[in-house]
Amino acid sequence: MQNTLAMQLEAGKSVLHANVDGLSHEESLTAPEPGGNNLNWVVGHLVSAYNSLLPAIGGEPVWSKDQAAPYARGSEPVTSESAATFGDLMTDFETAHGRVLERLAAVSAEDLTAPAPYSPTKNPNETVGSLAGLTAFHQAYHVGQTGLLRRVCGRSGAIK
Amino acid sequence: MSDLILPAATLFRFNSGLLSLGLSDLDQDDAVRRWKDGDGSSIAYLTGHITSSRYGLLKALGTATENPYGDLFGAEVGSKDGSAYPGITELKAGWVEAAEKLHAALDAVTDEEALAAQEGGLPIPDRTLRGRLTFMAWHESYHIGQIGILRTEMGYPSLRKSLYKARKG
Repeated sequence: MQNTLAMQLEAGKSVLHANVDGLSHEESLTAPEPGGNNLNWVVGHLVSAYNSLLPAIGGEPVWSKDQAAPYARGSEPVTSESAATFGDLMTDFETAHGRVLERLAAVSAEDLTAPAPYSPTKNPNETVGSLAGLTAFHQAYHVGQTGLLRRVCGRSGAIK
Repeated sequence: MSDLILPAATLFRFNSGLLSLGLSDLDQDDAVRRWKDGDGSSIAYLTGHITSSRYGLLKALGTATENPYGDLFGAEVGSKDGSAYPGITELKAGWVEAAEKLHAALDAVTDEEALAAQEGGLPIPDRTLRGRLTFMAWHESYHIGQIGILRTEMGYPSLRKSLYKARKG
């Protein structure tokens, strides 16, 4: 299971890099009118999701709760006042991604069957393994959005 | 079902239900509306594209010989204005039919089949059927995320909210 999740997360990382290639911090704040989350929020949200998963698989979060709050599920779109620098977000994404892969390689099959400390979908039967699987889906889902948000920044699609 | 493909199969099932929800409340005009009214993807295109991908898997699994979505939505075919696409009701029915076929085919995969080498390139290191399923489950999650943002862009509830609502009954 861990290998499957790791390969999906690696695929997402690779495509994320392509979708944000060459984009500036200012471009990352371009709002998809009439509303919705900008690229800065989506990348921060990817970090936030890893940040939540890490303690469940024995890893250390990259962000404090305060750092993660602007990018948590259901939060308002970030603005130039509330947003982290886009370059810092990508660096934090790399760190969090690396920690998640490291922990996925280290956890046992038994660890994955343990009850999860939380469930984003309020699933009473959520295990660490199902939570990790849901996170892999979540990351792919939002990386897909970065492909469209790149166009909002006036750039052509990176994935043909 | 082989345990080797369980993570991918679980994700395919999740996506089957999530996209069905995301197509249930769509107006036909919105279904073919392209991102930012430009030349990008529409929900109809993305739905056809990942349904086509599922037929590609069904062929690899030996349970389909034809891909009825390949001509309009195959990997080499980009998004068009939608005038030649089936209606969104028909596309949803096609998605549900492909889902049922895929779930049944996955249930029958053995360990030996899961580890069988696959022809053609895969963008991940695992070049077995398991690897192919792993990548394709990721691929359709990527596009369902795009459908999610297209929905909210047009004022529809987010897929997350639709899922919660459906689970609460």
